Amino acid sequence: MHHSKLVLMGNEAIAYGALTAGVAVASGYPGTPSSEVLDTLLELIASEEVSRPYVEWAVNERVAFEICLGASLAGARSLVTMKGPGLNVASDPLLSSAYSGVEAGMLILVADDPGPHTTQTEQDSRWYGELAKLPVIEPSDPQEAYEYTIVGYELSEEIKMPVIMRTTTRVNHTVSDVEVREFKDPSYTPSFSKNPKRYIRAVMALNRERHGEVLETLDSVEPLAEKFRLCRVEGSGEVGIVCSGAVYNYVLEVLEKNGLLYKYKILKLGLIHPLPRKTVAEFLKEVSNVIVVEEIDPYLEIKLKALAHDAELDVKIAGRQELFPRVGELTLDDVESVLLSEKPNSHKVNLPSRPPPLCPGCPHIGTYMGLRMGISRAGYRWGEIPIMGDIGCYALGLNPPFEAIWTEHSMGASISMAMGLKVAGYPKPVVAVIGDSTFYHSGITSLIEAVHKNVDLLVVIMDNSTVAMTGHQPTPEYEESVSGRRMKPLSLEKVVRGLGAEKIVVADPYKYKDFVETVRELINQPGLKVIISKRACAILAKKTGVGQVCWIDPEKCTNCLACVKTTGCPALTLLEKRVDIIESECVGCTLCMQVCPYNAILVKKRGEVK
Amino acid sequence: MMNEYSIVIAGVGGQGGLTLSRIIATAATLSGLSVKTGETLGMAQRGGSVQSYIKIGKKVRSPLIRKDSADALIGLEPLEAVRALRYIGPQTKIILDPEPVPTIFNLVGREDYPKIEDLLGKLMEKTRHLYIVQARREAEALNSRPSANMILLGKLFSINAFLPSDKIEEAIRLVLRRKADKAIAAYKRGATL
Repeated sequence: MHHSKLVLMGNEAIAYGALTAGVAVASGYPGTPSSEVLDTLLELIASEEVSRPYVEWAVNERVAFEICLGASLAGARSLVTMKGPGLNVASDPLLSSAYSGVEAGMLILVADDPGPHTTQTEQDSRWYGELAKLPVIEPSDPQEAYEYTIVGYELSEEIKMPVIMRTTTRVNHTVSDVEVREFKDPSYTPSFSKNPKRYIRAVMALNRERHGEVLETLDSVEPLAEKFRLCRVEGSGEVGIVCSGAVYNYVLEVLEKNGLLYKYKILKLGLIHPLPRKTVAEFLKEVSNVIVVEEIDPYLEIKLKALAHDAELDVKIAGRQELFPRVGELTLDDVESVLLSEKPNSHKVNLPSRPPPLCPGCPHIGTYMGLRMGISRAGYRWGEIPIMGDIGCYALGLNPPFEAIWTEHSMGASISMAMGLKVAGYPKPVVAVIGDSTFYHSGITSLIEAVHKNVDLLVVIMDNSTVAMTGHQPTPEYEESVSGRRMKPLSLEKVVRGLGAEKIVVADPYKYKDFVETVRELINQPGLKVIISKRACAILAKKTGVGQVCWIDPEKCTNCLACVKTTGCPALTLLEKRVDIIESECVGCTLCMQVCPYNAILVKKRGEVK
Repeated sequence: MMNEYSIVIAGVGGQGGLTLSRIIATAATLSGLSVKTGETLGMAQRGGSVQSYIKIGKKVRSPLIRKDSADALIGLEPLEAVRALRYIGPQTKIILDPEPVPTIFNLVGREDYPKIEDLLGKLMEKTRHLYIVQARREAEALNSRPSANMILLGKLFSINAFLPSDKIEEAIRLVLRRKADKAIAAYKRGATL
């Protein structure tokens, strides 16, 4: 077998693993820290001379999940990827998938984000194993992520059930040297046939019967953990450590650095659900104390305590609930202070924070400027009208200078939560802002509801024609995929009209006065109004070339800073307290020019000396 | 090369910290060593605080760095360098571009950017190895603004040759491909500063 050593991020290693395993269908919805898996697959199939699997982003996680489930029922190995909250979206088909089972292997990659660095909640998706009655495996570094991806398919086919692979940011986004093997052609053996007991959930007696079979299958997983080498015991000391995932490496590092390996016995679990009870019980019998090191919830800790109780073992088990901080991502220092029984010394430095701003020339800047002035022209104070936000770059409108959004909850919730305010009787106008991809993902059903119930609401769909925040994945308006596939581009305006909305205005967020006027006019009107704020993401526009940029005429500029305070554009900077434009950052949107009271901002050709 | 070498890169999204860490990781692998990198980034692609960690050695376990233990800190921005203070110990070599990037709070007049002397003072309380390099200005002089990261890497390398030099150049070519020539010129320029 051909081996080669590459430098890969965990997510890239998972993509390589999927191709080594002969994945035939892969889908998902972007979400940090999971997005690079499908991005990498797309790049690899576009460049490699291999028989191509189907790899495409889907409109949301649930649809992606069902595509992959269908493919695996049909006999194709499939991979579906998402971040933790994405699995909540896909949880409906997930919970039935143990009952249907699969024919060819199906791997569900869910990337959790302890910290959190980029996620709305510190969700621990390991619980889904219990809830959905599916096996959960957890790799600890990029090399293991590669291996577990392949093992995941073997396990899945052995038990004919999907397998969940749970990762955390420190695996997904860690880059390391990874040994990879040759890719296989997509694995597809047509196998789908009628089988009501497995595939139809409409007969309750069969569901109950199937439930029993599912539990029996789960019971058969423990010996397979041994076969696939998913768990191992290291060391021979009297104090036990049980861990899984990235923290396993923190434990080893701390023990090696302090010369303490001899003192501890480590159980490294790669199979999290079902818990390999025999292996764990044997381990617990050989130690007097156990420290459980794990990210986010005390999941293993609780399971181990229950197991020790059932088996009447005299062992003291402690972990996240008493030894470690209860929230946030574990650090090497956290693990070290527990294993060395030292008091953690706090390293807090009080420094000004640096929240990520909207990018230079971001169209969302124009949308928020227009909303602010339009609401003011309609006779309300800024901050008087609730602006219900959604998930995407535009959530950064929470920061100065806009401080616009009041909520950011879950995908698509802007419209339905705004509707909730209105039906409760909220006396003032309410605005919902949502991006195009989030709209297609989940906002679409919320809008149907708001249109149908004829709610007084202003919905602003910010259409930058891409999934910007996670790295510019395609929306349903793309004509061509990175894979080369031709696609049918949808039109947001036609979709919104097709849902029954009647008052629709397409506005350009770079045209400040027009946008302000549109908002002013619509905000007090009864019924449901939609503004489609349409302008391509500035990062993408910049890639296609910037012709004009703005510059400040120092003769006219009074340094009033209206441009900075109105736009917050990062292309504007203060040099020695004087405002200036960083030419290489400017995309020439002219929003600052349109609000300069002294006409001191002008347009020039890029590179032109003024 | 010592047993293990760890580097923290601190900067603002868009300054090339992640590219730099990828280049160093690639160079380490080309040198036959084990490597792990990690990153801490805010919500967006650019403009927020970003930290990367790189550990190189015979067998590297985790991508994280223990407090006070970094061998080097590459500071692409002074406030962000101070944000990485917990990793700095007396042995740490700090290579710093002292040119501030104001935060959004500074720009809209909500708060002042800290005094640069105070920031440098905080770094110098922890180590005496502080090297100031006007990397962005130098990069602009080379007509290659995005290469400020390479200038800082060149400077670090001239102080601590933690990998074979030819492997770094090879890694720059592998990672940056067409843009490699300018980056290598900047890397070499950095070593002379």
